[in-house]
Amino acid sequence: MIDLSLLEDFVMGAGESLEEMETALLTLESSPNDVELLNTIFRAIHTIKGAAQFVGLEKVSVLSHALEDLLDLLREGKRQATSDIVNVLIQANDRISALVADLERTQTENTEVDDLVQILHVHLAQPETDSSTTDPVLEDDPLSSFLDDETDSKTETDSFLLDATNDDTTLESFLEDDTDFDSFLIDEKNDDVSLESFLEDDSEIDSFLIDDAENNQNNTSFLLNIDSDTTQNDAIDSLLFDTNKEKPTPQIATPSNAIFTVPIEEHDQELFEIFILQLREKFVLLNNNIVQLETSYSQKRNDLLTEAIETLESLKFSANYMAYEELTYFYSHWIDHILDAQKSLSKNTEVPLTFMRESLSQLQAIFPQLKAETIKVEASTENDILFNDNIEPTNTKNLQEIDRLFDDKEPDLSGENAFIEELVLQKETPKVEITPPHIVKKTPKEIISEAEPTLSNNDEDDFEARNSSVESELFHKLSLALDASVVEQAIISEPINEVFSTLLDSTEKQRKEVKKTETKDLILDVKTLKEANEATDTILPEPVEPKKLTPIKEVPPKAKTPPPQKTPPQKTTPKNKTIIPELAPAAPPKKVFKKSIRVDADKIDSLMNQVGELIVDRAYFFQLVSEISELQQYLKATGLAQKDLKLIRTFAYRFSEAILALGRTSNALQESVMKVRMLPMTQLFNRFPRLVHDVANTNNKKVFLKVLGEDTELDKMIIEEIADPLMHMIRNAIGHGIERPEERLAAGKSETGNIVLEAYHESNHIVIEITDDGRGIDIERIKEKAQKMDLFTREELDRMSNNDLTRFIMMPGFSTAKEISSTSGRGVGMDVVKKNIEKLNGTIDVESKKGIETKMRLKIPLTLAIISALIVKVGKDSFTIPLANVEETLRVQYNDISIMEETEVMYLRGKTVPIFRLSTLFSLEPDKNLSDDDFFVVIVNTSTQKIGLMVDSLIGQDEVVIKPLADYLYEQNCFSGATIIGDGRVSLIIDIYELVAMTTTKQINKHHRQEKKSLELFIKE
Amino acid sequence: MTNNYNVKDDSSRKEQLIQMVGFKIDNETFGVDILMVQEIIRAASITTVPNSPEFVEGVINLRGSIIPVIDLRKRLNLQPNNYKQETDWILILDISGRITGFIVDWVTDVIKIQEKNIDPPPEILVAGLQSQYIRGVCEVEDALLILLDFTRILLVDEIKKLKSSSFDSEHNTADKH
Repeated sequence: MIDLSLLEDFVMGAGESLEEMETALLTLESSPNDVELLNTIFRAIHTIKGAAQFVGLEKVSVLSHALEDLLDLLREGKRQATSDIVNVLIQANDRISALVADLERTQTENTEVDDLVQILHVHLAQPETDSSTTDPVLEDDPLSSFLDDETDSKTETDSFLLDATNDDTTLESFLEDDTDFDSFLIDEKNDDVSLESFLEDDSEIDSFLIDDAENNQNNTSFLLNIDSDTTQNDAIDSLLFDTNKEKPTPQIATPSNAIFTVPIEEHDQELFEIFILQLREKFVLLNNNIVQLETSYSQKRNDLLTEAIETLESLKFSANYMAYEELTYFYSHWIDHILDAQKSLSKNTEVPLTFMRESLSQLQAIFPQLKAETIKVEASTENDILFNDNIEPTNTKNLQEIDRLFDDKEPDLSGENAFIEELVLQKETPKVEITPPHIVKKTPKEIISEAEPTLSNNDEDDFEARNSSVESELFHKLSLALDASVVEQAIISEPINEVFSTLLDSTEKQRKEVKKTETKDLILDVKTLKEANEATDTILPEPVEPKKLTPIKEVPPKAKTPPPQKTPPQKTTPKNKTIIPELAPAAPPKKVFKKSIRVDADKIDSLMNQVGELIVDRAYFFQLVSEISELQQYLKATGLAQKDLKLIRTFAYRFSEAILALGRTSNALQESVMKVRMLPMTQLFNRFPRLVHDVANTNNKKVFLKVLGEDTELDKMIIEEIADPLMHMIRNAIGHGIERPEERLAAGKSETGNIVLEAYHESNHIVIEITDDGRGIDIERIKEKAQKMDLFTREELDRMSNNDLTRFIMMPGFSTAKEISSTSGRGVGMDVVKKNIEKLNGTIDVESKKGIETKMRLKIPLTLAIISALIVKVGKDSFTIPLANVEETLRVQYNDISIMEETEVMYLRGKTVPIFRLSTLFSLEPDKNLSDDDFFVVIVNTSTQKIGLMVDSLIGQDEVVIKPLADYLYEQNCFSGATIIGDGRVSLIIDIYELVAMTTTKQINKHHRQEKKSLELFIKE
Repeated sequence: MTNNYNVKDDSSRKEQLIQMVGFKIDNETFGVDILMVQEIIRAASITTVPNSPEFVEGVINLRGSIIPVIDLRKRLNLQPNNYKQETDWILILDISGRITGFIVDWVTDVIKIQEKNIDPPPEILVAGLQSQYIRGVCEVEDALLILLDFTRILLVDEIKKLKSSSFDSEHNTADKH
């Protein structure tokens, strides 16, 4: 039922969307009228819905669909985002999270959603509050009422038609619908189950479509409509800027005059799946092939082309088998093309291979459509997309004519004729129109700016020139996007979403800026774009570029007007225009294509391990270098001839040079691998607003959370590890730190408490600070409690510094809370926090000013696998101490040490620091050759205690790779692992916290033994 | 050869030849299934791990992995060695995923025995060895080959117990002082 292979991707993707949504929801609470926010939320939920449908998750789809409906109303201002609604939204968010968690664990949707869906419907059903007031533009629109009607009828006819709620008069809503519909269609093909649940059969779709079409008869049909009376520019105008004019109505289906419909093929579902599967494989092959083509030389190219032909032949065969005539034809044409190219290659002439990528793009464009083939929607052909020119609104049916047109008007484009031809050939194939919107992303600004020139520019030739280049550029983008989507179908909905939003944005803006008067930034944009355009234009004339760069480069901003402007060579022409609006906005992304891949964390870990090996090896080489220089000295001493010595010296020099180079490279490698694991804290910090919101609510407190430095990057593993401690500390800050509003007012503070969460780098560490301006830590209470717990006597406590006292809160079982609540008071929290942080080799500090603030400061190494450490020697063994714990190293005279209660201590800047001999602690033989008079002491610091470790000598500081020990070696031991040092030997890494704990127990034991002894003595006496 | 044999007598497992790596501690010959043996090394520099059980000799660096090394003589409570060899042999064994080194006096050769010739461990002590560590015995060329059960030898719970008892006894002795 549920497609398991896609599930994993869904879970990941949904997780991200949910986070995004939650953040937005929380912000929404404070600014309920922020349209941008609503859009963000809508986008997120839409992404989830699309993916859920694709994967076949019923509950998620149903819930998210209901959510979408509600959000739609919010977006249009028909509802206010009251806290009630926001709470419902948050609940829904949680519910989806729960579902996602279910899916992750059990691959089934266990959590019930019906209750929430009900609630959502109740909200939906509420009488529409003044729908007109909110959006004046809407009001103007003659269509709005019609559209509203449409919505109603739709919902009636088929509640399933996602997003049938077409009440928005603008293009966007239409587009949404369309896209939804498309995604739905895809579903149909991919997943019977989900399909069935949504629609009984194709005919129902059809009937719906027809219904719809009829409803819209009077309007310029949007997609497939060949509305011949709309001329190019008019069309543009009417589409984008003329709200008063008759609006092009979104339509999924076309009136009867629309285009050709493809007969519904009753093909075997299974067969079709196989076909698609094969297509997908081959597609990847072809894509690789093309990439290689672009970078290789002629001989290789020939081979690659031959390969491509083979692939295509097999594709052709299967297409033929499936009785896809157009497709077969398309393939053969492609093959012919390649053959031509090969011929010219053999003659050593430069061949444009651009057609390869272009054809591929077309294939991509066709591909999703194939799935949705049964439906008429397809009407528009690639041509629609490709030739977005409405310059030739003529219903040219003659290909040659088109060609001629192009030739005449655009001599420049001659090189692209082949391409155009192909496109033309494609016209018959029902395809594409829907695809592009999914794929192409564009920022609204871009779109607008691009639209701008069009408006002002009536030069047709110019248009055409641009358009053709645009189209190829578009296709390139498409192919990029499709690459991704083909590999991961599940993701498809994402691009869709973006397209949506961009569309929405753009149309919105356009509306506002209707009838021009461009705002400044727009003009700016246009300018820059124009410049860019001019620059690229120069490249344009060279159509015969061997690499396909040409089309890509010429990004003529102008051409992309959302309004259609393409010479649609076909009968389809008028429709094209209508289609274009979606296309154009959908066009190329301004934001740089986000290239990312998901990699199994284990793979990165193993990479990290190997880098670790490399570092060990490097250390070994360094060791060798020093050995060679010793050898040199030795040889010199033995009286080796100057001549021979020179040989060795040269060798040694070259050797060390080589090692240095190796060192540099391995350093760089280490750094990049570490960076791979680094993620911005955003991911983590984003969870906290919600936490603060919830905790503050349950505690009846008002809290404002300020997050700083969320861009700071940190090892992913550490991020996961500190999530819980941080969460606990924030909970503490609200629960214990921040006072109730009335108390705060009484204390002369603002009613709302502030919590600042800040992250920043400090050398090799990341520091995270949580500061609250609450009541601070009550030192007196700590003293009382400590005394009560018999930890120290009152006198001792009075002597302690505030900082030392504050640290008590991290002791197990220590709580100053008077009563135990559900969230706090058991005295476990900070103890656990401290343990977790220490596990990461981090430290935690607390600073508090009573009545003013409390600041918790976490300091954590950037990565776990490699640490900087101090290597010391005791006897013949070396030990490694994490530098994070090392405060300082001292050379101490024996006289400086005194004995207190059987423990050696020294005075360090007025404080007593206990000294432990590592040799004694570890029962090792210290180096006898060392003088007894002075020793090296390493002062180490845990957050609670400072001790000195006496060692024989210091070897140095180095980056070491932590390697695990056999588990039974950790037992009752104070090592956190081991590392391999330069000479290839193993050095144990001392776990300072354990060590300190061990010394304390030893002391205590000693103490007890003494007491016992004296007791025994006493008894004896 | 082995293969031929195996093919012939596939049906009867008892007839199967197993190959054992033979090694000696004092004059006793022990054997371990060759499939468990990852490699045999000599003279690695062993880093002692303070406060570890007595029979844990330390850890070594085996091409980047840190591997514990157990003194088999001490682990099996055999008589301490009277003379010190120049270099030990270390058998690196893969004991259900735990790569561990065992110090033995010397490794002899690969011994082929038939499965059917393996007898269960005798009730009485063999070579001063508790029978729990013995998988079986087998007579080879008039000498007794003791097949050790390394899984048992490396039973972690037991090691931990041993360790804590040694820890305790250390304390007890300290107390007595």
